[in-house]
Amino acid sequence: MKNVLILLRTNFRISYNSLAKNKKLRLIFAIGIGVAGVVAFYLLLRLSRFLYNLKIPLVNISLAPLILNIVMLIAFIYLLLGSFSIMLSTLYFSSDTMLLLSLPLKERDVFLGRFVFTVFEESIWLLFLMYPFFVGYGVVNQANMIFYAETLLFVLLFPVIPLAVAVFVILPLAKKIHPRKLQNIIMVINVVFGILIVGTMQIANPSYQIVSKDALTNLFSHGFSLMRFLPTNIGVYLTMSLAERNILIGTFIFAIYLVISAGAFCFCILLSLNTYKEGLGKIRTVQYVKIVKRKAEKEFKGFSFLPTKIKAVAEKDVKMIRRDQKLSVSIFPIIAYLAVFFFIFVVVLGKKPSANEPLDLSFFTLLFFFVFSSYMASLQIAPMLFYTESRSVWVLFASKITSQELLWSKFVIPFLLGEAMNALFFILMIFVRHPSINMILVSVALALFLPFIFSTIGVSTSAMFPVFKEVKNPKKIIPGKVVLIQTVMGYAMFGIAFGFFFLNNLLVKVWGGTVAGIAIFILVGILSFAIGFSLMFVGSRRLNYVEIQ
Amino acid sequence: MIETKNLTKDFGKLLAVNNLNITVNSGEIYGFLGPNGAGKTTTIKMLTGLLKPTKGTALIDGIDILKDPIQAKGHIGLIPDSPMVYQKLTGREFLYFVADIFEVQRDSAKKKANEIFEMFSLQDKADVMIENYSYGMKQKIVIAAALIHNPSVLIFDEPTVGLDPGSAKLVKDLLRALAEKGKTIFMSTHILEIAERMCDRIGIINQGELIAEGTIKELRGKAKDKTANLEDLFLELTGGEDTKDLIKFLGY
Repeated sequence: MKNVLILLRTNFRISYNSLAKNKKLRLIFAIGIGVAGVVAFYLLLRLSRFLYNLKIPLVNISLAPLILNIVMLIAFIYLLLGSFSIMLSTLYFSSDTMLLLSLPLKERDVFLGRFVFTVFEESIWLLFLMYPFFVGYGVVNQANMIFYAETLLFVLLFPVIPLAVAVFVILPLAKKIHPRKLQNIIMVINVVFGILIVGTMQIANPSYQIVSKDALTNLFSHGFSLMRFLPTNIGVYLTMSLAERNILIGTFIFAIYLVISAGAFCFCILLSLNTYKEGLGKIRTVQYVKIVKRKAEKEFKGFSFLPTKIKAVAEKDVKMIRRDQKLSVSIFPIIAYLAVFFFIFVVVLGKKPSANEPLDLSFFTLLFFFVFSSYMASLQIAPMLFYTESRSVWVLFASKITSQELLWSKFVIPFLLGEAMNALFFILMIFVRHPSINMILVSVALALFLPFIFSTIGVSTSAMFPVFKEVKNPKKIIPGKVVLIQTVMGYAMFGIAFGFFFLNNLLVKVWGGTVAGIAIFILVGILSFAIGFSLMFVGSRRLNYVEIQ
Repeated sequence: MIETKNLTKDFGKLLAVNNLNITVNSGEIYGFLGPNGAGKTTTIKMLTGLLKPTKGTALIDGIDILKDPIQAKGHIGLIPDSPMVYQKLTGREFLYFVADIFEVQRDSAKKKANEIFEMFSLQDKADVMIENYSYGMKQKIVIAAALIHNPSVLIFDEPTVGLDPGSAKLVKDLLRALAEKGKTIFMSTHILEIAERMCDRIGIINQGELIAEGTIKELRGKAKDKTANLEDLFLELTGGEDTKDLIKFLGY
């Protein structure tokens, strides 16, 4: 037990030190996070109080239990889905694994330290995001202190069950399957699940009219009746009992919850005694990477039109994407989501506007797909390709490649991918929609120039904040500020594209469709080149000052 | 030829390299010695354009690395202290990639790669992904990549680390052969035996300052004990003698 406490203390210290390098900054960050948490808590509290005061019209039934259940359900599903990846990487791929195993520590202690710390980490989030809904319920129902104390404990212990469920699955599986392979399987399952959710939501979207309204109503009513069997319902009974001052019943429910959580926790420990050591043993001894001798591959000639140095880097990146599971698995969901939207795109395009509509809104939706596909194919992939250089970047920095060549070489793949996606959409549009000249010109302008601009944004903003360190998953190295800047710029592009849509409608009335289309084409082209080249210039200037330490 | 002029680098308050002035001629093997944190790797990174000097500059075959880094880098082959390479490329693909970046014709790159693979006994592993290589094999592939464009200046940061005795011997012979062909060799090493036996001249750096430079004979002339070997000389100059006393005191 002493060792577990030492491990926990060390983990807390590491987490605190990771906030910033500087001691003073660390304290400022910690206070800042605390303040942000309190603000989030307050806002959610206000929101919850507003929601709890809502009532179903006519019958005057409060929506509070339903809202509370939905909040807990979202938290539970989120924790359950995430817990598989979280527990697997925490238990088997933490950077300190080898160090800990070389110390006189029992595997059980390592497991316990990691499990408890993960529960703590998740609890902190829930404290700020879920607890306000309990407090709100208490305020609305004028509950006493026992309510707040017991619900607080309930929230803090909430991650135990979903994390334990993940442990029940992962530990025995990792004994049989190499954890690295298991990690890939879980990642693919998560992506498939995500796509299913997105797909289902799109199919169920009433505006597409894919499923009839009656069928949807039936589905939802059955869904709600099943909710009473969900584990989160225990939280609703607990809250309601305590809020109604049924302290004995409430505490009894809380005791049941404690026993279930403690049982799950104890079972995890028992399971770890027999399985954790063997899974870790695989990490230590078995080299999972298959030794495959590659035949001299037929050389990829796809980029032969490019200058030698740019071609070399782009071809190398293609090989990396094809062979690096982490990279291809990161790109896989992007392509898969695009495929789902591709399907929706066909459905939307199939619906022709009525002649009375003042604005062709289906054309508007169509333009949205060009922006969206460019955003996904170009802006999401470009930074990944840049940061995937990691520590091997010294090869490039010590070579004859200039920073501009390096940036343009990273531009090639996302740009071509975006163009390919847009070309598919465009061909589909021609066949399904038989567009006007104006529609063709505006679509071509967006389809052609948006991947250019999104790729330049992706590459140049990454170059402005270069980080070259070794990581297992290149997606995780992308700095938060880069993601933020790219997201803001991405949304700005959405806005600008829609601005062009309205401008086009205006110009059509003045000049007619063809001239308006040409004008929009030229305008979009000029704007794209101006923004794209300026950003690439700034990015390459920044890269000139990069030092490889 | 390598020439540094008042080469200086500071990281805020830490002065890593201070006014370094050295010249390494063509056909010469220059050993760059110093204790951990003395500034060896920082110097190498400045020579190869990976770090920008705070002050001063370095000339590679007369080309200023600060003014014309791309041209200067074309003359350099760098072997860093740890082999950070693209794990998902095969050895052959990695060499071709580096050759393309240095604008070496594919035919001559193929010929050169085959020669190097044979020299390092890597023929069987040439088409295996680098992630399957041992540390020593990765080090060999990095050395191979540094040679693929036939540079006139070779900069080695710990050239024999991670290599088995046979490969280490091969690298040492290779260094000598390259120097005889007129290449400029600059190497930093901790293995004093290698430096003593191979280098034409040695520079010793400590706390960012070049504290001694010359042939082994010239360095001995500066020592208290004129018959001292390089190890004793090194410890005397870098203050490592205290360590020797400490070890004696501890009874080891």
